[in-house]
Amino acid sequence: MAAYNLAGRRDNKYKARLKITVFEGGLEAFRDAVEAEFARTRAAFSGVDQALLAEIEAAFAPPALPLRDAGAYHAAWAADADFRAFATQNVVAHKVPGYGIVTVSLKAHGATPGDATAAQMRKLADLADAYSAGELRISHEQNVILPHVALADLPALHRALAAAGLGTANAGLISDIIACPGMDYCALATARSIPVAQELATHFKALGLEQEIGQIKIKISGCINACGHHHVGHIGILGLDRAGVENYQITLGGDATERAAIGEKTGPGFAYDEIVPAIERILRAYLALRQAPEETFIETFRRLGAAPFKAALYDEGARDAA
Amino acid sequence: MYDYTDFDEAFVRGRVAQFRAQVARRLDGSLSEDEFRPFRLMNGVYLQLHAYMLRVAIPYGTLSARQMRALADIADRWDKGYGHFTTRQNIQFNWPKLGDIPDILGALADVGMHAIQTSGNTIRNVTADHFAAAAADEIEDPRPVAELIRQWSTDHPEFQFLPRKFKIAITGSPNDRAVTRAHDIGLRMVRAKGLPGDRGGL
Repeated sequence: MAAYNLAGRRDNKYKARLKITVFEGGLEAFRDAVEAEFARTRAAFSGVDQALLAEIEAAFAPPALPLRDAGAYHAAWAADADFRAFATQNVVAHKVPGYGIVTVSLKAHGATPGDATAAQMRKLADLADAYSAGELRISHEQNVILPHVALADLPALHRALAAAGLGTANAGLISDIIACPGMDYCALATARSIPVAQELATHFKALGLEQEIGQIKIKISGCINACGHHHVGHIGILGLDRAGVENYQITLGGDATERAAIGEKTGPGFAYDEIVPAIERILRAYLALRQAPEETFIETFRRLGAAPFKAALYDEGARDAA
Repeated sequence: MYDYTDFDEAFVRGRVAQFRAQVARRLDGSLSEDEFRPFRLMNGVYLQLHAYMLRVAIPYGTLSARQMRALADIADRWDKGYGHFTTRQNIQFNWPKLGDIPDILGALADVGMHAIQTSGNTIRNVTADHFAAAAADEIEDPRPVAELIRQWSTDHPEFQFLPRKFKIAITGSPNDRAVTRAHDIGLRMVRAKGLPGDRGGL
């Protein structure tokens, strides 16, 4: 922090982030500056206050999660297709046997990604008290997590969520889109983000392709500040202003995980009313190109690169077909 | 869950009182928007296209049922009945009246929450794996270290006027759900031989 505070540019706010400091001066020079700072301050640094750290760690002691009979879970799994879809899509394994981590989607089709009403927040608080040791999480993907749910309680939780309009079984699917507030709210925005996310979600639901397409991360930013993380979306959408008209640039192959990658720009951008058909062309190309339904979009992209997707995006024949 | 100490509480209450006076001076005209701007940016208040916006910190994305209820009450009483969860695990209220914001910050302080360092050129909310302490693939809960960084960075005198905003993320799992590789500083716990108690290292 001290090295960045000294070396970071203060003459141009668009060149002031650490990444620019490292890019312009080189990683080695920045590493040397950090080492020099460390050498200067090391004598006065006696390490992290272990008593304080122990106190903090004690506060994060995990809740008691007793073993529960999961009969209700298996019964609901056998009897209820909606429950099966929810349990498959929105629940992942917990470190404690018999428990799951539940993602409550704030991405109902056509809704604003990340918005929750006061009534929904109260419902989530009540359900956290009843089923998740009183604890909730917010994900950077703009969903709410109930981290400690007994599988035995999952059928009752799913019924309560569905009744509150919070039962959408789409975690990780094409409608689970990250979008910044964009031009609907933000003073920095150069284009709208929220309506693009809404139209993508409702369009692919109407086509009935959401399950077929499977796991995919679409991320939308309404300006270069990239609050919507578009660089690391499998499909990234960046909304720009071209002479007063919204224009959306597409990137492909970004990845936010431990295999992090910056998406590759496909070429010229698309107008507001062209962006949803453009994304559809990319995804129809994916469905045609994948080796098996198990091969996800990003896996197909890694295998084939951007070329076949660019052809689908810009080729006139493909454009007429979509 | 981590509860704020008396020190945290006193600090947050002091900041609410200070900002209340700054808002009063803005509303009576003795501060211009240009003069008020640095004060509001110390307290998570933005001026957006249509209204002020208040961004509330949810440290490492963890909150209690009681805190979620307080957010619901704020949405009902001082906003339009909803809130917006952000890509830094925070929540934004998009329609507060400036004159109400000190009361909103007071209501947040009642449940150990605040809006400090959610804007401005400071170290922002430290984000963490949203499955922390629950994920089956986890080495260790990353949140104690995140909380340590929160305490260290909050109101740190050297780092209140950085060249630009600064973002830190931490994960305790090999499968990175916290986007650590796309942050100013990403911290990843790894298993390291030779550490006491076979603990993970950073």
